[in-house]
Amino acid sequence: MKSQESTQGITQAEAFAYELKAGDVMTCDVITVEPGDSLAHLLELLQTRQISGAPVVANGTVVGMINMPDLLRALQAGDLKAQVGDTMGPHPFTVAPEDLLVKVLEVFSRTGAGRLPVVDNDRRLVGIITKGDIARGLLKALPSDGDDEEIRRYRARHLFEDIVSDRTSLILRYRVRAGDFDNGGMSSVHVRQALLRLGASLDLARRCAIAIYEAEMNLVIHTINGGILRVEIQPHTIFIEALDDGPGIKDIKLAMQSGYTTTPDEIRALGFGAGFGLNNIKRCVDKMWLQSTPEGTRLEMWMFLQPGAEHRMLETIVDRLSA
Amino acid sequence: MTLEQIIEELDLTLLTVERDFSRITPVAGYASDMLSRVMACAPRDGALWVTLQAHGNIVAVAAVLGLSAIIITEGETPDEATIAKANEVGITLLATREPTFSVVGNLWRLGLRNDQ
Repeated sequence: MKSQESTQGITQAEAFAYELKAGDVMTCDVITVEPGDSLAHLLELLQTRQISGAPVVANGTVVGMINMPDLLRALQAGDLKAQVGDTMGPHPFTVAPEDLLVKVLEVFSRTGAGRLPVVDNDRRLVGIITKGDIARGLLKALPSDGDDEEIRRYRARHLFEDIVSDRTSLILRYRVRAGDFDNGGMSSVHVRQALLRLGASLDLARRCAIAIYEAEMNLVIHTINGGILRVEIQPHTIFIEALDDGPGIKDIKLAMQSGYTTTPDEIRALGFGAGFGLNNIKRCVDKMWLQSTPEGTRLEMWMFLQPGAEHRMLETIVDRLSA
Repeated sequence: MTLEQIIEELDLTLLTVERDFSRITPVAGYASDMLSRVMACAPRDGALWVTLQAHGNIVAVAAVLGLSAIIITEGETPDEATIAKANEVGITLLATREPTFSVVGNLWRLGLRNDQ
């Protein structure tokens, strides 16, 4: 997963290297020296401005580039009084503002330069560019958080297409704790996200998530030990079951009535247990089946994504019984 | 009308992380403190929900429904864990001392309707 992500990053960075230009990422406010400046002045400039080289400019045009190695050579020769013009390399490599970053990178690797002056057609200095500028420019251009979700969706959507089998399904299981009102409902948030990543429509993701939320809150409110939520996603069907080990629903017929509730008052004050849960589920799913004894409750919910999917329910049931 | 304008006009306190609210436009509104009712009736993805409930479960409700934000009324304040969870799932929490009635009235005055 990790390596896939970084590959994706590199590919996108490469794409931007063919779109962004030197002018987009260069530093415009350039520190320059003149040929007549002393090396002592240069040394002070490099120290105070924390840079390691500067373009040499005469009458607005770039005539050379002077870097730390040039300065060190002069210092070794004990020639601190020398002028920049005597010490600089004479013909600096330059790039144009309209050059694509891919070309600038090529100049960097061909020349071994650490920084390149950016000049216009008249060799007038308009900026300076380092590899750091390019890295920053690319990072800025790469999509941030919001588009990460796009990439995740794109990958997940291919899950069912890329795997060949007689029956492919993805099973999501969640443990729901009794009485945990603060975290209750988060399983449904995660299922919704998973479904959207798998390419489900907003409407389908919403209907599933509402049904799962209500089933989940029933486990939180009405069970002794909480329960299990199991979501089986297939290309044609989504099968959801909520299981617990008691105390069971006394009267299912009554429980199915809109507004009927057995939720204690203090929990109702938090906004739960208005008596619409099972009705909400019934409204959202294509098929619902509920069985309850004092030993436990099993709630099954089905969503059929393709015409005729209902007939394939049997496959899921047979598989589950033989597992 | 953007969420940025709503926050400004109603003088709402932002409890979750700053986002570019000028790019979020609530498409509808709903007000209720009964969570199952919200589940059943909140208009659609992108709606704004007004409630005085401030416990952690409201985040799940809003995320399940794909709501754009929750306005918590009457000075109720969610705890740290709830705010952290909202940030995690990308739900914006806004707070005000005003009662739900006034908040809804102001939203209506600003032009938020459910029939668009």
